[in-house]
Amino acid sequence: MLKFILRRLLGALPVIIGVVTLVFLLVHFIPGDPVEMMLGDAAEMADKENLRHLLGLNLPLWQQYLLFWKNIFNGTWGMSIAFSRPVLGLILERFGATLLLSTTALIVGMGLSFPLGVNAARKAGTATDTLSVGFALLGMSVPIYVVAPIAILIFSVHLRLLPVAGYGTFAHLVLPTLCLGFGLSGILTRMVRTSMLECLGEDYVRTARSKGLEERDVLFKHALRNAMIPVLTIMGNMLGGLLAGAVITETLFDWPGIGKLFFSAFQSRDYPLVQGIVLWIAVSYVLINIFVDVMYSVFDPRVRMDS
Amino acid sequence: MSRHRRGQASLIIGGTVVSAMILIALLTPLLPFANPEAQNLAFQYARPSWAHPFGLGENGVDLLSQVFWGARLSLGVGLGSVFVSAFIGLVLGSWAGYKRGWWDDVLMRIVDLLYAFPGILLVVALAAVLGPSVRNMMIVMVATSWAGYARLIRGVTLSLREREYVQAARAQGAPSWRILVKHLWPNLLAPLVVQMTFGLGGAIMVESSLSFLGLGAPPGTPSWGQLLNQGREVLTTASHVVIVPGLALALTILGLNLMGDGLRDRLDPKTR
Repeated sequence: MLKFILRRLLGALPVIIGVVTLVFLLVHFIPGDPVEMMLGDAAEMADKENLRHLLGLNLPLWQQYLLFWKNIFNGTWGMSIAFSRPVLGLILERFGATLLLSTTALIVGMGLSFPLGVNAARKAGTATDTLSVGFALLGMSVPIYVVAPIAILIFSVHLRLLPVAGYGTFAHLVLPTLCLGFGLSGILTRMVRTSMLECLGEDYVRTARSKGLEERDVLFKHALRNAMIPVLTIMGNMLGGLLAGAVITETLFDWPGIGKLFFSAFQSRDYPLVQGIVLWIAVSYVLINIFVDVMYSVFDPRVRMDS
Repeated sequence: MSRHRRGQASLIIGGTVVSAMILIALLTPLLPFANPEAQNLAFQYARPSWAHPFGLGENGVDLLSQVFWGARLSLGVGLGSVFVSAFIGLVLGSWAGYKRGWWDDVLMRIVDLLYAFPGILLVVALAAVLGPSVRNMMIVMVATSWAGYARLIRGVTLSLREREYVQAARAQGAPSWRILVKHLWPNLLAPLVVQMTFGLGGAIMVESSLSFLGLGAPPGTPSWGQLLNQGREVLTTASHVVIVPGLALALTILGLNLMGDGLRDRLDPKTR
């Protein structure tokens, strides 16, 4: 098992190097002078020179690239211009809030989609199935910046049950979690349903039924366990997407996580911070996908043998 | 409802919604709507009325005409970026899948790299760097979405290249480009069209996300994402500013997803 994990980590190394390189180049895609973009036309000449020096933009490209790697390894990940602090510190401070929201949203998404998806597959072709498919379609089609304002309108403005936005108490967590979770449950319900449908048609399910197992055991012990494999991939993708895509949700609900930090970073043209956040999210995403691969081998030991 | 009938219903409902949206996008400049940018400060955020069925928005702009003009932007940017990315994906993916070798390796490593950025992260980062404009938005969307098409097309090509008709063409000495264009591309169209339908929904979602974040169309351009962002500020007093463009956006994406489902049922032999 350990060997399997190590091999996957080693295999991810070229991708991570590629990610770092692409993120490094990001600032060089800025049309015109990046320093002028960050400080504005009216900035003093001396300030511009200072910033250019601070960011190493006066060096040849290859030296800038080495500097970028050096900053990654010395644990600063560069300096934020707006905060005048190391980028990694800023990210770590806010990662907890994002992780909390992502996890609760994923739990809500699973809590909605597993019963719906399994039930829909069991009753394929009936009204229950059509309703679940319709729900899934709605979850996939209505973006968070449409769902969230409507939810705020209902639960915060009219019913006055929950705070509009903010952070700190359980009540603050409810609306962003539900809105994000609703979006996730769309794709998940669909995946669970399709995957279950496939598994329910397999021989081993027929065998399980014919030997008189209870339907509950057939569904959950035999079918669902196998149906989990494609679902897990999607969930890994989701968690990665959540860590990043929560930009809009966190901005909407004033949630002090990485997404909101990202938003303020590109609004204030704090490019070192933008780079740091993109790098952080991409690397976490690659690692999450490796974790998902490892989880696969728990659900399906054949995976380990194949690779 | 049987699977087939459900697929057919999806195709009809989705197709109707999408056709209606495309018609709106095409005809809006010809119809006698208020100028979408005309301001009426005295009636800022006025609720829907006979004169303005969707109400007024920020600075008193007419929301009906804003939403209709917004459809032009969303569908225009969406269709443009989807067609360009799909074409790039078709050319690169089929070449890689057919030729294999180092070209395939290099292409797949680039695709892997682009897939290492989850969700709209890379789109947002690139748009933030390039600055807000419709052209930049298209560039960013194409730069990040061609990889999905390339990966799909490569996969299908890998299985098609072993088919008899391809081998027959190769045995007759047909050059690679001819085999690709004459024999492979026509058979790649079905999965490509299905993917493009879902891709259009995704592209419209990305366009409105970027505009919502202030990274898309420049301020003042009628756009659903921008309207949603403006509406957020006045949610408690003028909820129609969010609800109207929100419904337009949700309906369009719903229509595209339904249409994609229906098309897949009809075109993809695997699900038949």
